[in-house]
Amino acid sequence: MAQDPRAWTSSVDSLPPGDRMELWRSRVPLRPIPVRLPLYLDRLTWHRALLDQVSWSDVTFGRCHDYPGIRTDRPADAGATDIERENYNGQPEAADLEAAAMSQGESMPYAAEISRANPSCFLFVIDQSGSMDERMEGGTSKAAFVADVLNKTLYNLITRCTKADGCRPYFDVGVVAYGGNGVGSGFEGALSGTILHSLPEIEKNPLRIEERVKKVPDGAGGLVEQSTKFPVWFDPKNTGGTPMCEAMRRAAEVLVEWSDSHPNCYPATVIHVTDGQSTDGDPEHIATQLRQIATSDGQVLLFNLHIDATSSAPVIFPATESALPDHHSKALFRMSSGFPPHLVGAATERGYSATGESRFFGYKAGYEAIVDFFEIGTRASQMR
Amino acid sequence: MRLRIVFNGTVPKDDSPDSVNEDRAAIDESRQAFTLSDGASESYDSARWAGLLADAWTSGRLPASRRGIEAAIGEYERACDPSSLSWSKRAAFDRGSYATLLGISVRGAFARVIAVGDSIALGVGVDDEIVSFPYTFAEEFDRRPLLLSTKREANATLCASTVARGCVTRWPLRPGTALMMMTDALGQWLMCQDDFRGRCDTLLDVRTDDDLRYLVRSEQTNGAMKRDDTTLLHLHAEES
Repeated sequence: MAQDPRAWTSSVDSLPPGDRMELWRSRVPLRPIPVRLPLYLDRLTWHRALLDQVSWSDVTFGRCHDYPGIRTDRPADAGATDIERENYNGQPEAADLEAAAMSQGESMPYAAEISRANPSCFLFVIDQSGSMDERMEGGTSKAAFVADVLNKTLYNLITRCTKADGCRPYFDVGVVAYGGNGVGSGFEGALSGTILHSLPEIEKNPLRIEERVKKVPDGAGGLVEQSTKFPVWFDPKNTGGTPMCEAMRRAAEVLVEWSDSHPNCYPATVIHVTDGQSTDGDPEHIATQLRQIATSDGQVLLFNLHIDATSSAPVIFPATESALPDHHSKALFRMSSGFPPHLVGAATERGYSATGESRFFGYKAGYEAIVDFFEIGTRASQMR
Repeated sequence: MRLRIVFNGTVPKDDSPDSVNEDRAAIDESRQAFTLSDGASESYDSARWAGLLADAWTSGRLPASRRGIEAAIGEYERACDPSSLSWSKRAAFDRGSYATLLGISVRGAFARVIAVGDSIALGVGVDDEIVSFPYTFAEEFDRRPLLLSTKREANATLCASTVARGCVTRWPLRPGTALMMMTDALGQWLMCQDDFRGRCDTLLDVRTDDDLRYLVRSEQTNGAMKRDDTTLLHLHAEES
C-alpha cells in the first residue's frame, strides 16, 4: 500500500497554520532569547568587562549552558547553581530557556552551514614587531614568511569562494597587525579603514597584482610552466615592541560586534601568529575572554602559531605543554582552543596526529607546517 | 522494454533568488537515455559542467570514455573563455569544476546503469528486489566521491579501465519495474535509517514538484536531509 508522501511529517506540521502557531507560542517564551549557547554573561556586560578589565566577580552573570564539545572556561568563582537560578531583567529562568532551546532544535557546535546569508569570519592577528626580522630557513625573514603565507591564504580562500558569477561573501576576513606602530588593520589602501571586510571587497582591492610562473600538470604525466596572476595584500613589516594584549583586546572588540550581528553563524576563527613575548602584559586572561565570545553555533576558535628560530624541535597540535621549551610557548599553548573535532580529519590528511585532546597550537613550525596550519585553520565545513 | 517518465523534478538548496541549482538532468525518450549530473558546490562553474556531461551522455557522446570526456572538457573551456577572466575567476577556473554522472539507457530487456560519483540509481522490482547502485549504505556518502572534472589530470584514475568497469552495471527489466535516479542528499536520506522501505514508498509516490519540495524542505528542517540541490527522476518500465 503506497503511503501518502506527507505521512511522515510530525503532528505539529500537520496542524492548520493558526493552531500550529498557538502551539509554538505555548512552548516558547514570549521574550526573545538573547543567546542560545555558552555565553555566561550578557554580551554588553561582558563587552564592558573586557574593555574595562574589571574582575570576574564584578560581572553580572546572565545565563549558563554547558554544551558537549565546547570547553567552557568557566570562571572559578561562578557557582553553577547560582547561575542556573539567575533571573535577570525578567528573563525566563534557565530551565525555561533550556526547554525553549530544545524546542527550537539543538544542534552540535560548529555545524552551521556557511552561506552568503550566513557567513563566517576569519581574523588573522599578526605580530609585526622588530624581532620578526629574524631569518628563518632559506634566509627569509619571519615577517616575509608570514606575509607570503597570508597572501596565499587569502588567494586560496577567494579562489574557493569564486564561481562563474563572481566571488561570494561566504566569509568576513580581517587582519589585526601589531608592532612598533601600535595595533590596527593589517590591510592597506582601500581596505585600511576597518578591520573586517567581506571576501568580495578583499578580492577587488589587493595592493597590486604580480605576474608569477607556476608549474602545472600537463595532463600527460609531466609539468608545464604557466603564467599566473598573484594578488598581494600584505608586504612584510617588522618594527618595535610586541603589544599582544592590546592586539587581543582589539580582536575581541571586533569579534563581539561580529558575533552579535551574526548570532547563528559558524563562529569566528582567530589565527594568531607571533614569534615571542608580549611587551604589554600577560595576554592569557584576554585570550580566555576572547574564546568565550560565541554565536549559537559555538565559541570563537583561537589558534596560535609560535614562530621560533631556535634549535628546539617543532611541536604541532600538542595535547600537553610538556614538550614546549619556555614560558612564552607554554602560555600560547594555554591560550589556544582545543582542536575542533571537525578539523581533525583535515589535520590527519596532512600527516598530523591531532586528537580531541590536542590544542590548535604550533611551535617552531617550518614553512610547510605554517602553510598547513593556515590551510587547516581556514578549513570550514558545511560551505554551500 | 521501454522506460516511461513518471516524475522528473528538482529542488534548489535554498529559495533565495540568487541561488543556482547545480543539478542537471537530460532526457531523450526516443533514445531511451536518461541522465542526471550533480555539480559540486566548490567548483567554478559546475552547473555548466553538469549540463555538458548530462547532454553528452544522453546524446550518445559517451563522456565516460577518455575521448568523450576530452570533448566535453573542450566544450567547457570554449564556453568559459578563460583568457577573458579576472584573476580570481581565472584562479577558480584553474581549480576546475566537478560533477557526478548517473546515466540509464535501455538495451533490450535490460537497463544499463553508469554511475560516477554519489548520485544514486534505485531499482524497485529488479529480480523481485530493491537494488541500488553505486552505493548501498548511507555511510558511503561520507567518503569523498570520485567525480568527473574539467581538469584532465583529475580524471586519470577514473579513466583507468578497472575503475571504469566498476562504474557500470546492468539490471533486468520487466513491466512494472520502477527505476529512480537521485542526487546524493536524497540518496543518503533514503539509506540512512531503518525505515528504508517506507522512505522508498514515499519517493515512489512523489508525483508533483510540490510533493518533492514539501518532502525536501520538511526533512531539511528536521535535520534528516542535507541541505543541497536535490533532484529525482522516476522511470517506469513497460512493454515497448
